Amino acid sequence: MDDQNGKSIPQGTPGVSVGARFWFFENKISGGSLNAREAKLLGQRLILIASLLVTVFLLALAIFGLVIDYQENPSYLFQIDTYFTASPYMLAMWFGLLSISFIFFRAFEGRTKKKFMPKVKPKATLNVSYLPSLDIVEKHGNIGDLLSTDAWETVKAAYELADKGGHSQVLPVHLFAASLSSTQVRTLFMRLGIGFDDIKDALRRNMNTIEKGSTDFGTKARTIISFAFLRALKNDRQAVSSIEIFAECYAQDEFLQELLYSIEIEKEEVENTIEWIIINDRLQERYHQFRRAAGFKSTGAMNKAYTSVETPFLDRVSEDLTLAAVRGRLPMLVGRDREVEELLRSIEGGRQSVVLVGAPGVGKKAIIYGIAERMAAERVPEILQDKRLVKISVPHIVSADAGSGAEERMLYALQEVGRSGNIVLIIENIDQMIGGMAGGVDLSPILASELEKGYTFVIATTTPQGYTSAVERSVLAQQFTKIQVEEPSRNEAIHILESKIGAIENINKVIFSYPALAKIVDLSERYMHENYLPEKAILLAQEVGNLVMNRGQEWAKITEDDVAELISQKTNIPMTDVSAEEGAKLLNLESKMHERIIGQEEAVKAVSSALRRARVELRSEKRPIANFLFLGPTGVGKTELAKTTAEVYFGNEESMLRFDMSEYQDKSSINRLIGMQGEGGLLTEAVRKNPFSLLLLDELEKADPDILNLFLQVMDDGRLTDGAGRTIDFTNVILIATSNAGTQYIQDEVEKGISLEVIKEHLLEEELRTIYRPEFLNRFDGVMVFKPLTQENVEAIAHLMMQKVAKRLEAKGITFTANDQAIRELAEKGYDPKFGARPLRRVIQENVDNAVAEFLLQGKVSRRDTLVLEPGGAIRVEKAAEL
Amino acid sequence: MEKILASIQYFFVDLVTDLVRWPFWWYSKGLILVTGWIFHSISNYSRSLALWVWIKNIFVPMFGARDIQSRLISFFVRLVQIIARSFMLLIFSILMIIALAAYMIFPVFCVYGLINQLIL
Repeated sequence: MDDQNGKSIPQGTPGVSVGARFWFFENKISGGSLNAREAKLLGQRLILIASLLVTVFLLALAIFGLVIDYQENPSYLFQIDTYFTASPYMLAMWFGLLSISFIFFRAFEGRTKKKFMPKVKPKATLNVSYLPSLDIVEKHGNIGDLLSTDAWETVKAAYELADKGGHSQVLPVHLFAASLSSTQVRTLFMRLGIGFDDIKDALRRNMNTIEKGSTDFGTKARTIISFAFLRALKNDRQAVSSIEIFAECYAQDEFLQELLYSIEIEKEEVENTIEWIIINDRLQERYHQFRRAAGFKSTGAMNKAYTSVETPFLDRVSEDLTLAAVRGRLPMLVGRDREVEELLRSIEGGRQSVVLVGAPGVGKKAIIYGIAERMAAERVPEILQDKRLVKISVPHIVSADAGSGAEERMLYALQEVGRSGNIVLIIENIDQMIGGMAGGVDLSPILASELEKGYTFVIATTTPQGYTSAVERSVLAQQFTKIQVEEPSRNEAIHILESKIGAIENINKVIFSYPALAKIVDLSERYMHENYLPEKAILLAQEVGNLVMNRGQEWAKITEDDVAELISQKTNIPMTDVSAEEGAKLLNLESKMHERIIGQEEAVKAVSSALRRARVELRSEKRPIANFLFLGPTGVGKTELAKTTAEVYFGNEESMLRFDMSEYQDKSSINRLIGMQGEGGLLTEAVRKNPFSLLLLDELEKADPDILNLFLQVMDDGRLTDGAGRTIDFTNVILIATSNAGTQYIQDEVEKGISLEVIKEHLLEEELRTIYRPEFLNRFDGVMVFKPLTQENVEAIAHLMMQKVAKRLEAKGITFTANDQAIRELAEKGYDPKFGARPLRRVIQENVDNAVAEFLLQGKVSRRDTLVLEPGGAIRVEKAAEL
Repeated sequence: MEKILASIQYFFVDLVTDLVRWPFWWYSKGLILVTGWIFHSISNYSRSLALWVWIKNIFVPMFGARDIQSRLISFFVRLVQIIARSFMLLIFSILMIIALAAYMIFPVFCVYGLINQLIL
């Protein structure tokens, strides 16, 4: 037998073997059976309603009778004989009481009949298999008993859909379409930001190709149900619901994958969104279980055995986490099973203290809260049962009394812990109390010696730097088992974020879509290198929620663009999808840049192309946005082009970090650039604080060769390690180096009329070899040779400069004009092939600015007047008409 | 329409079978269910009384006071506590068992009342 795609369909009954039992979908599905099932459910509901009505009526009648008969002598109501005397009312009462027990039977019979998902042994391998005959299995179970109400609705709707279309088989596409009306799948579509209308036509076209015949709920549909059951088993769910059916239709059917792919929904997105819905379900389930279990935990400082002692001093400098957990104030832990198991195992194994080592924000605190939660529900090894988890605040201990006597206070607190006997201490950032970090006091020897006595143990946290620089070298190292807490992967971070989104949504009255969530994780990963997942993603989600809420619309949906907008605001980097308007602007980048840069067509073109590539995300994310080397004589526009680039890409020309490399000519200057232990470097600190900048390295050829090696790494890997061991991210900088090397050669050759291409080739192969190593030159995305300026260029520049003068005067209310002849004269005066446009500035200063300043000081010119620069260099004042 | 007719049919058929099954269920599966509930609530109550913790710690001094006098006082206080808590647990258990008995007698009692009415 072949399906539509020509693939063979396995024969037999699909199902899942769990232990010795074979689970399969036993129910016959046909129009009649589905209707019968529904009718039966309705009939049973009618029975319950009828018996309730009868009971209420009978008991009301009985009470009515009793009131009528005994209102004179209510004392008879307390005599048992009253109820056994013959009376129609009493008959009604006995009948009514009996029917109460019938209702009890009807209501709770379901409980005794309810089937539960089979228990799966850990590490058991489960799979869907096909049995040729059911005779070979002894025990079997019916998956139909484990389908939730909405799953049954889906099965029924799928059958009806196939039946209505006259299709010979119920196929995944029917089950898929049917599942769309369930609440869970509707939520899923909402999260993905898609609607039924997006896929309606394609679904209909596909269904039209299905073979006609009388409808059968056959192997293909039953296979999907089996897979859905398998998924529910693996996820430890209490029933098979429509979301599992949806998930497996999608996972097993290529057409459905293509269908969602065509509307830009990838497989991973679907899986993560399904996970989101399951996480929410599970959080609720877990919360109820937890509330029940936590009811048994004692909430005071006293344990159940009354062996503990009051700890008045400790209470002042600490926080009881178990108490907070019992009161439901701590967030639930998602994932992190490995770390929690490892932690419990090492505590259980040797009563050993542990230290969680992880970067800030990766979730060390969440793990501790998870332990507190487990302790509140008493789901911990015996050593932690009936204990309190108390977080001691080292700053409180240290800061009292201006820091004096901190050791005594620490000792006192620890002795209270010892006396009480039911406290497990939490010390966050334990590195702070070691080696004088805590206001000059080293508390670690006290802690170490108390821990050695073995009456208690500590769960501490620290960062990797804290661990290597403080903990590892201190006396505490032997007392602590190290547990590494890694930054979660992208998908784990998304799952953690999914578990936190509900609260953010409720506070800000917004709805997050899945693409927005994924974007939050991706962009925070890419642009916030200083912080770690999942914290940075959670903080970002809160900010986006707030941003969208402040727009004023309640329950607005947050999309990818909202996230991109926030990141753009933070970084000044354009990130939203390229609009048509911006697209046109990008395509005309050259002409925009030429408003500031005269000549140098090749360089402007190369820079523009690089910026376009960066904007549409076609660049490597592991290297700087672009690395350029600008070669050419002084005063030809190298720095100006760098400034223009900063303005175009980062929004303003101040986003430029400028380093004059002639200041770094010896080896020792490396330390000034990257810093040393305890001292930040000029370069690394600047980039760390402004990661989204243009990095301009002027006169690169003057720098020490070892410094060039530093930049080799920057250009290659997009990062640099500073003197303190921190990795600084350079992937969001545009690196531009300028160099005067080979200037004479360029000038000579240009004069000879040799083409720039040939000049560049010779420069790279000959002239620059002596200064830069070939591998260094190869790292640049582009080496641009700037031509010496021609007379015409200088004239154009003079025009630009005069415009600037006019602009400055405009602020004073004075109009300034100059005719072409006058400007040409200025340009001729200011032209020097050796120095480019630089002398021009001086000429303008002397001939124009100075004269204007004199006019202003002498009061010869006032608001609304016009200054005219005439050929010959004279400036004339045109007085405005009197008002 | 067909469905409603079928529902009515199911209503009567199921009602009759339910009326027959009801007494059997009451004294078999229903009894097991109710007994389970009762045991569960007794065990929950004893857990919240922490009686076993008190028994286990009978010789352990309370509040960490480890001198002889305190130990002695502590022992007697614990003894009193254990007795009091055992008593509470006992009362609760008795009440629960009465509830179980009430469950078993209830239908019989109602039937007796009914028959009584019909005979008179």
